[in-house]
Amino acid sequence: MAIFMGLSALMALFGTRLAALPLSAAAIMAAREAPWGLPAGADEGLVSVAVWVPLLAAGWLLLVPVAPRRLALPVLGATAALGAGVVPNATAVLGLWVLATATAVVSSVTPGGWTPSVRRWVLGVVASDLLLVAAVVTAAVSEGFEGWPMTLGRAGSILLLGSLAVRILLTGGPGEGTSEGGLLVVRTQAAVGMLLLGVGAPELVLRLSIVIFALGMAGGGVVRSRPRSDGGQELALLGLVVATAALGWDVQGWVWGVLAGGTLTHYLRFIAGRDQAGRLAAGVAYGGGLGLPLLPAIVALMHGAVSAGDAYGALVLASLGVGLAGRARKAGTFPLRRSVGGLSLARSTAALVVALGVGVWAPVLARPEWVSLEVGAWPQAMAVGAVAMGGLLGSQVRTLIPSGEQSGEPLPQPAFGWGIRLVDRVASPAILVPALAVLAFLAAGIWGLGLVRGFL
Amino acid sequence: MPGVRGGQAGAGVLRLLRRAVETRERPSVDVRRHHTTARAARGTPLPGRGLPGLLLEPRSFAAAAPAHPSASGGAARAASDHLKIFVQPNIRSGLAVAGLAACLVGLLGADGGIAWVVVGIWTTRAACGRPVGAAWGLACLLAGFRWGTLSVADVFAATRALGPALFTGPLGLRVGMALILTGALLEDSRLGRLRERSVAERAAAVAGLVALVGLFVVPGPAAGGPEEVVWWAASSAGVVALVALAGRWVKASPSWLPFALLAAGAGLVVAGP
Repeated sequence: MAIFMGLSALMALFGTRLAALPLSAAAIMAAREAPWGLPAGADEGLVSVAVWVPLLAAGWLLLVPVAPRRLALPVLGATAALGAGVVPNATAVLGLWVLATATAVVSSVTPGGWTPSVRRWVLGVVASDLLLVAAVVTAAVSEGFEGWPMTLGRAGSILLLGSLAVRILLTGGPGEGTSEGGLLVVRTQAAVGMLLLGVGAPELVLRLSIVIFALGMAGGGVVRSRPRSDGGQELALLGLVVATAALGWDVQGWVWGVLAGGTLTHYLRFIAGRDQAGRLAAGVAYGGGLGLPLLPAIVALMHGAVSAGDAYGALVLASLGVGLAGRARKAGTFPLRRSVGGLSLARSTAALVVALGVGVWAPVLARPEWVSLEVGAWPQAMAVGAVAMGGLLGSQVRTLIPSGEQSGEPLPQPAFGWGIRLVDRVASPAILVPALAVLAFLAAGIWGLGLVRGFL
Repeated sequence: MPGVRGGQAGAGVLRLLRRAVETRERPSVDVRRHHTTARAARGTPLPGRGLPGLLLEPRSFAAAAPAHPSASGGAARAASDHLKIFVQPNIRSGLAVAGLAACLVGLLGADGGIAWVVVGIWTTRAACGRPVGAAWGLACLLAGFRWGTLSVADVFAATRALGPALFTGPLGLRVGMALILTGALLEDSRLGRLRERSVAERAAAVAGLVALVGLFVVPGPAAGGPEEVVWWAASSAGVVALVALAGRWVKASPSWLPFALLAAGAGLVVAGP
């Protein structure tokens, strides 16, 4: 898989969208190579991450009109982040992790240099990484390097959870035009980190993580930036699935469902508003939830929450409802990106069909036989067909909704001016560059320690 | 300008259809910006075939209103941000009817029916460009939480056997359910759902209230037994009338009140059993 990822990065560097081919091959290889020999529960999740990360990059190449070479570094970074999830020795984790972070930071720098938004974002990434370093060091001091991530313990788990909580705020990248590093690298790191947390965290930390990710799911609905909202909600949902599954809720296997739905939701955003397919994509992605590819996972988690019947169940249920309702507030206008030809329209339509297929018919997610995901309660095909037929018939009735009305509702504009000023003061190159150097030094130092001790 | 072929003369500035901008206010744009738009210089109409079906706005409009509230600053400054595209009416109509169909499917007892009712109504409201009504949706989900299922059919079976959620269980539980129902009805009433312009929105409002009555107030209908259905319909009609009439009195109530009632009710429901 890593070879195909490297090949795709090389092809992207040369500026060809054919790099999507090796990325697809990498996804297939990831599925075929599973399982990788990690503790039960982590295998399946890591396979899901390893399949859907290259597919997100492939979709980006095919659907987003940006230069392919911008994806070269993030693809390498995502590969390093995946590697950090596979290694069972903590000495190797940090090296790969910080390497991934470095690619994300470098790829996020715009032609305008270190703009304030880039500096804020880099500060967040560095802060998150420092928490991870602290988690690794804590685990190593108490239990040693071997057996990662089972050695996390309570303190290490809390530090890792803090790192992830910061990271889910950063998945959208510094801005919509520079979100590759966020969506490909930081998203992968966060997904891997959540799986590690699910394997190694004690029950208390898992319950704490439910609270934090529930807040993330609900808050993601009111974040104005669509990449940040989509990425944050996807990761919060993933964290909820991982934590609740570890606590015994009936959501086993839904890591696959979340990442599949999340990737397809990103596809919908990529094409939103661009052409006829993109307009439907916009209405689905930022509507009330019907047809949203994340919906099957949301409903599965709702089932788990009502079955749990405790305060955590109520919290998760409420956060899912608020998160879904918040998405609808981001309807409205979309940037018209570029004129489309036949091939581009075909790609948009294909992405829309796949996303809608998953959104309305969840059993599709369980189709490859090796996916250990059971879709329990889901309406019969006839009911889903009735909904689709209703949509088709309704689209012929133009007078149903007055043409003058515009979708969407103004989002509240929180005044965080003082906070941003404070962050801007800290996020200066004089602090960020030494912090990155410290991270690199620590990662290299611990990796060297592993070499000296004969761990690697 | 990417995506617009100008022909021989070229299209310097796109001309916006007069009625599309000057006779209608965009809800998210400040009034002063509308004035700016009205003063904006207009060029020739889009030559040739252009982009039929799209509402286009000239550069000066976007310059006056650079950031739609739903877009981030970065998004608003994207390379082609001077053109915005709206979800078309026929697509919105399709989504609205699909949402109503999903609501019907849920009420008829499909698996995970409460989720389908909620998502369906929210989709219809979002397609109509109205607030989705988070309190109403949360109330439906919490009704499912009270019985431990998302299936409307299972809730009906439970209420048929044990009694409606509003009148069954310990006092704290009943008070909790009453607070949740009050919060949902209050939100619907203060937003004036039943007086909306679009047929789809009014249909969604009625369907939402029918669902609330079925989940909270009446025992579930038995197969082949019309009494419960008649009781459900009569209760729904009463609640619809109540919500419609109460609108003028609760319109000025604070927007956070439904959620406060919901939170208090949810707390009692969680602590109840």
